[in-house]
Amino acid sequence: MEYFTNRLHGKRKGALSLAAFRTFVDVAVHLADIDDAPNASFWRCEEGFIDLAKSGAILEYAEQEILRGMQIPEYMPEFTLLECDTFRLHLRVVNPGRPKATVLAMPHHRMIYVVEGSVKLDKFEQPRPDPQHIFDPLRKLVRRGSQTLKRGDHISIRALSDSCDFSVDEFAILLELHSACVGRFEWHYDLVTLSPKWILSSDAGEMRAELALMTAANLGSSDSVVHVASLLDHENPFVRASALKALLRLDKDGARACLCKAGEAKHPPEVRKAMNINGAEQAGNEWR
Amino acid sequence: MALTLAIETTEQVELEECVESIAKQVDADDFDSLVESAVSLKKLANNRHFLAAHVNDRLAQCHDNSSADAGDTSFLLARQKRIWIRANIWIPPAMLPMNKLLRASVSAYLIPHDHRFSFVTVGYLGGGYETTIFEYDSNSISGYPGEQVELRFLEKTQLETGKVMVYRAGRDVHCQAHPREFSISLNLLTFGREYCDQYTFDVKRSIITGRAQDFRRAQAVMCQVASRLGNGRTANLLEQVSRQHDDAEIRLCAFEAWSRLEKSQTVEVWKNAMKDRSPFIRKRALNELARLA
Repeated sequence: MEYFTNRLHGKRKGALSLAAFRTFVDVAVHLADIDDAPNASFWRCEEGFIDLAKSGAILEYAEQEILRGMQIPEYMPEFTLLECDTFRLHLRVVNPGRPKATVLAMPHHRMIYVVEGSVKLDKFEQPRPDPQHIFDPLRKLVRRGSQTLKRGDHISIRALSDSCDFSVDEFAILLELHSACVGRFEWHYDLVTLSPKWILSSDAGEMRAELALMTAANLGSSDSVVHVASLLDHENPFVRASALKALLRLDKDGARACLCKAGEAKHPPEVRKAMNINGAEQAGNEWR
Repeated sequence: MALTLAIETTEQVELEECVESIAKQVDADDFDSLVESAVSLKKLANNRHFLAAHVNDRLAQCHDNSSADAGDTSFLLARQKRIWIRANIWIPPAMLPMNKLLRASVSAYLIPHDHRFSFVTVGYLGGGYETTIFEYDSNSISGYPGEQVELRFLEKTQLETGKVMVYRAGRDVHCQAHPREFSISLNLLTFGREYCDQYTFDVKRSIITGRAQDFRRAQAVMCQVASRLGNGRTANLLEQVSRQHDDAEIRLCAFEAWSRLEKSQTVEVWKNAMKDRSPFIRKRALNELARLA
């Protein structure tokens, strides 16, 4: 337990004050310790997860949060019950709403248990999830039928491959267990055409790096060159591409040497960016 | 009240000096002290090097992914209890990488809104965003979607480099347009002790369209969860909330949840609600009792 709570450092652990959640954490820790393969232990948590969902712990948690709301003015209850480096546990409520236009393939595995109400699922599969970082509008989803989950039912949803559109006629309560991310991107598909609409990075570090690079490029300080250049070796290809773009704003001569190297990269967006930059440079255009 | 402040100083300070001066000068509950501190933020904006140095530090941390003080569009520069200084980045949609286009298309700043904090803002780089500003009196509203609000047009302006503006919590409503070029603004935010709701508006129809996700809605959802799963113990808790919670909206949610949980006691629950100090709750109780009669 101590090992696990250490891994919850600075993250959500409010539900740990309740016995059923501590029991679940004990199970999860035990399974994580006997398995070396990343995320393999996640699916083995299924039994512990179902026991937790059936245990009445959700009611206890809701009561605890309501009580806190009485004690602390403007208290904001947490719907992420537990969060650590290997999983996140969420309480989710679903209300009837308008039909959605988009269905997502998430970068993490999910187990979902219906605590109350019933949920209609339209299921889809992406037969070719890889390479996930290259957007391809032709990689359509395939329909895999519909299913209604009632109170006490549960479902497992694989990262990247499976997508589900949830709808309800009445208020429903779900408990969701998410694995750590096994991919880096959320794929968003059009629910009518089933074609990909866009991909979003689930990597907050990438977004922060891109923002900092874009800001440095626009501030135009020569002191930034060394910091920007150091990111040309970043493990994330999108960050490398942004670093190259920023470097060209800050130090054109230095960046030109890097263009050839980027043109040989394996990552198509990186190559495309390098080629575009090269073309613009040769045409004498101001590149932004 | 003019929201654009005329501050002409060319003096410049380092971030640390600015933070020190603001910490001495600003009381987060005193709007006038925030306005007086605008000159400190303007002096910081005159410093053309400090932000690049800050961004360089962030870039140095990108390898180990430890830079937690930046979001999608801002850098937190300093934070002391209820006073924050941050740099906001305004990016034209055409400059965003493909995987960020969605975020741009749903940017919250395009929707007319007010703020739950007061703030001074200074244009630091670029032509800035265009903003149309209205004012309203948050004390005169109930806050439900569709409610008619008296919105008074103040000005339409652009936060270009060097311009200083101040926004009042729960008073100024603004809608922004995407910037035409990459722009940066510096913001000094003060969070008063008194809680202030944030709303979105339809300025053409002068109505409230929604309220930002807040503690009331989240506590209401917990009451709903409890009403679906609860037992006698839960009913006692909901009764306690309906009697004792400071917030009328949460008391109403507790009455609703309690009546749902103890269906045989519904009339008694709404009779209790008739004794509530909020006229809004009493009116609702009257309607429920009429419906049940």
